[in-house]
Amino acid sequence: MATYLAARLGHGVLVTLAVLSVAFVLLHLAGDPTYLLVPVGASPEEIQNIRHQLGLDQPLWKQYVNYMKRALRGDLGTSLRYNQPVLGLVLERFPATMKLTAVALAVMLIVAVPLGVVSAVKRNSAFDQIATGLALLGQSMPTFWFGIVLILVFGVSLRWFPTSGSEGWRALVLPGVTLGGYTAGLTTRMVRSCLIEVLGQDYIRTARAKGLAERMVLYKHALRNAALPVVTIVGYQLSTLIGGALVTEQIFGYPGMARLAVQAINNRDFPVVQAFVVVAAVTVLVINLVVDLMYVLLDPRITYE
Amino acid sequence: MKVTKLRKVIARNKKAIPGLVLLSIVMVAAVFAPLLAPHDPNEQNTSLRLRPPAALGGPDGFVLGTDPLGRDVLSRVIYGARVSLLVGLVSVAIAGVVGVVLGVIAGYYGRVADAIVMRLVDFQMAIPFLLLALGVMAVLGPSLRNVIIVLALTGWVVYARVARAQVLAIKQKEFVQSAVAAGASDLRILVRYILPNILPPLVVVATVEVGRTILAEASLSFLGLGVEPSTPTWGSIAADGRDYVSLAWWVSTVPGFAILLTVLGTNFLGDWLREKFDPTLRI
Repeated sequence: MATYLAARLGHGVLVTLAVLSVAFVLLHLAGDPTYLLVPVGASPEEIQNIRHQLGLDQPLWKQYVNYMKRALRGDLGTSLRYNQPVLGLVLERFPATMKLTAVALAVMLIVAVPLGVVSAVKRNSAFDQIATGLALLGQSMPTFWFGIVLILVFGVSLRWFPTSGSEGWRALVLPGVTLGGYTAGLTTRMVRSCLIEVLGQDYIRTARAKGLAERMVLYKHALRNAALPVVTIVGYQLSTLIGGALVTEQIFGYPGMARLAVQAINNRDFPVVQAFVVVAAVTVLVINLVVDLMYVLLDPRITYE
Repeated sequence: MKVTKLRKVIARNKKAIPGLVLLSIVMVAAVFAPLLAPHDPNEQNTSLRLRPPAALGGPDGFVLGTDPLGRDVLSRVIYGARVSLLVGLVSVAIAGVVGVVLGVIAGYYGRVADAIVMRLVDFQMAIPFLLLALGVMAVLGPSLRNVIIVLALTGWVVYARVARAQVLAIKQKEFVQSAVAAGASDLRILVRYILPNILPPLVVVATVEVGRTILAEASLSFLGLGVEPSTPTWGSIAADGRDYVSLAWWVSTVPGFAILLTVLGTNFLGDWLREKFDPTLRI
């Protein structure tokens, strides 16, 4: 276990370094990044000054080394608009995005697990057909459309929930459902197919043959085994959720880090975009590490030697 | 006799029908856009801003109402089908070719090739694809070509994984081993024996990916990071109406609905193909 943990952490560190490198490459993707880093309307002298200050007049490899050195100390640059360290700006809004993601994840599980389980148990029934149809519909909806429809119905017409901001739990309902609904479709289908696979296994037949009540078969034998692949899906969906937050936060004017990044693009404040990409990628990385470790708790057969 | 046979065929391919119908509508709209659209999609008319659909009391001739610049929403949505399909199909084609080639090399040659490709896969899986797309588009700027590049760049992974897994399973089979024993070249084995046998699951993946890619393009365009702002695309039409949702719901919801129907079509088709070809495939 200790060796596994060390290997997994080592891998995490490598990927983090790679993510930082990608953020560097991004900046240089279109050639000279000066125009991405100077305020609109800067004079040629100012541009020269900034180039020198940021070290853009040095050879590329030297810039990379300097960038990595600074990045590892937690310095990802300074925002052109706010004139503050970008990492701080992004981290300030990090909890809001995590709160939204957590609500969305809860919505996803509350919808997907019961639908998927009942569909699998009552395979090919009317319930299954309707649930699978709904899941397919959910998978096909653009997030922004779902969000706008929710705003129109529950915000504008019924006035049940606020359509923007982040004050109180009510403000989280519509964005949470929007983001969670985006991933609920695929998750429902995955839960269903995992459980159907488990229900076809020999040990389920044995459990039934020895006269166990169907409820016991389902809860004690089937669901536990189906939980394993579902945890993997949840880990994978978290990364989709963080990507989906870009659109959701924008529609609802939710003050999270994803909205900050989209605003930064419109303001041509590229260092903020860079920091957002790094923070979001590292978050996904950490979450996946936790998911992998949860495997050990869920499945005693896995020992990671 | 013939009718019952036809019925049986239809019953066995239930999911193919809604998929084909939905996608045919979109393709017809895309190909014949100039003939079908009642107005020029870019023609602005400031006296007709944000008018509701004709059936709800809006001006005649504007079936789905107008946008904040007085452009006809129906015409824009019809033209929008072109970009969505083009981006979906071209990105998937590029990503598919790149992914399959890398996946086949990894699976067939193993060792170093496999290690390199799989590290790349691992790494890309670690970054949410919308993030990568966002970063690249922020630097390159919105354009049709850039969107296609970005979506291809972020989409190859799934093909590589499926292709590799398939090759690993198939290269142990007798017919491949006997071809090796008979002295066939690697290229011949890959093209004649392996590729035809790994294609079915890849076709399923590609079908579903067309839908996913169309959704991704729409998200990027909605955020203003897709194709050039002047081009009507479903995502950008919806973005034009975002600030007027409570005043003029039709501007944002109609293009979103068009996306929903299109992606539903590809998903139906993907499900049907999966049941035909490879019921065990999970994607």
